Amino acid sequence: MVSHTVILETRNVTKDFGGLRAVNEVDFQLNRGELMSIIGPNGAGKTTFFNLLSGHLRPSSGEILFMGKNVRKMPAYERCRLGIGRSFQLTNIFPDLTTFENVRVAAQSRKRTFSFWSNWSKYKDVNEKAYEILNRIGLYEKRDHPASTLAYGEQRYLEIGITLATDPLVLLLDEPTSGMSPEESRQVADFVKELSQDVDILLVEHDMHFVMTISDKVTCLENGTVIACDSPAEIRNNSRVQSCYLREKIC
Amino acid sequence: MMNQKTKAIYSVCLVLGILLLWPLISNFLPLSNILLSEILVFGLFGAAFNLALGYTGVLSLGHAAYFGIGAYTTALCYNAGVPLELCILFGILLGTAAGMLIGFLAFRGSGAYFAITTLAMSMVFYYIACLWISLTNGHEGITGLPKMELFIGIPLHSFVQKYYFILFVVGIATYGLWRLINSPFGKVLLAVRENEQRALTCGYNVFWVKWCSFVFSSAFSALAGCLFVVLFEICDTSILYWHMSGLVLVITLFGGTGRFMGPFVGALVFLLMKDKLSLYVEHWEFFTGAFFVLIVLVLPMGILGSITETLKLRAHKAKTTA
Repeated sequence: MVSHTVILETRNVTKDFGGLRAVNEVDFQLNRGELMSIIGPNGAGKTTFFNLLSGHLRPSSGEILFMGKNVRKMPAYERCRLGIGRSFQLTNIFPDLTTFENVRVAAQSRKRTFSFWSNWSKYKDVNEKAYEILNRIGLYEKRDHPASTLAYGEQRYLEIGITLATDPLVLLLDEPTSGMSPEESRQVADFVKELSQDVDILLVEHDMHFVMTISDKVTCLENGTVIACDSPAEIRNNSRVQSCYLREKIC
Repeated sequence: MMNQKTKAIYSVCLVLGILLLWPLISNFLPLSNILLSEILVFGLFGAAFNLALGYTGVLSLGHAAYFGIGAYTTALCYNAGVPLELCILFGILLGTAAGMLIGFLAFRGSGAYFAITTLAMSMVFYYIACLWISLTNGHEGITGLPKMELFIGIPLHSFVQKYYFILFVVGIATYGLWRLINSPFGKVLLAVRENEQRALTCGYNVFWVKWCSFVFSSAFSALAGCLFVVLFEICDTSILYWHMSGLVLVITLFGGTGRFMGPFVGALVFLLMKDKLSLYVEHWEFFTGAFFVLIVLVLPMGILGSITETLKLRAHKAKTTA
């Protein structure tokens, strides 16, 4: 077995929408045990890049490697089974199911999709895993509430919980703090930092304070191209990054 | 206080008890054995349809095809002297095969495209039945079947005998559907209904999940079609027409989509209205239509859906005030 220190990698990945090039020949590497953030102004292609990694979009050209395996042509559900979990920018949960069922159905995904006769509640391992995750995201008390009745912040946590339940090796978080108060953002930052002990994390985020405090590395995209990839301190001082994006936010 | 499980068991026993004793008391009541058999058949058809619409969120406008294929297969095979049990089995198998094929093609699209594709496919079967006169006898349909009898020697001559046979088969099928909905697969269906994109990102192959649900739905619809022929000993092109697909949709919406027993309640209300109203007015459809509009506007969760939601709300209020 070859051990890969690089867990997720793209080589020359490009995505065109008609005449518009949203992602332009991006070379990118996420190492094991790393927490990396992607920043960039609106329309820089961050979410499109995420969609390419998670399989919601297929690249026009280039390769995507997960643990050394080319996953370019793999659909989203297969990539999830391999260990690429993602959350979405807009809250994306199962609104009419209870909080518990939201997490449980995700926890079940690796085991038994096409089991038609047995009773779902008999799978103790799946249920226990769901409870464990509900505890971790602080929603155990609200396990029987329909997900649509949860507060906005709780729904954001639930979404991360659903993703965690699929046993990801890499977690792609798309703006986990969007729409949250500064206080809530700080809590999410602590939570994400804690998660990064167990799983490699790649996140897209607008909140600069959040990004700079928790990331090991920051990649900056502009017009679909990587203009810098470095430690937070270096990114702060990078003139190209400053000129395109950070001027008014950090300085 | 009874827990929910005991309550459910009691209510199932109660309903089964009433249904078993019905033929003894039906002479004194406005609901005959034949009408109740019909309600069971269409209830099962609706429950099968509900698996697709209510539990998977897939609207098919062509379920008449599977019902009709089940019915035609049973009628043709029985006419040819095949034992009734095998006729029903063939009916289910052919209906399922049609569901597999149509589902595979129609799930290339979604929403309105899916609905229209299923409708168009079902009309293909309608025209085959209309035009292949040597086999199906065209619009006249297949009549004059031999007396219904099971191969194991049980006669199904009277409506009471037929009623018990239908009750038995519908009971088993309903139990099967119930197991399916409460299985791990049933939970995946709900996830797909709620949010397809999220289910995909949870690692589920949404296409095959929807396809499987659709195939099960068509299999149970075909079974309902087989029972229809057992009951009425007739099979004509009207059961393949799009009206039948519309009827099952109306029945399901009457009872409440996504409610397990909803379609049975829907079938009860619809067929009872049809039976009673048609005695007095020629155009009874006008009144059922108006009632349908009323249900959709006032009780969007359907009759059973609205009742259970109201009861739940009341229980919740009593709990919070206590």
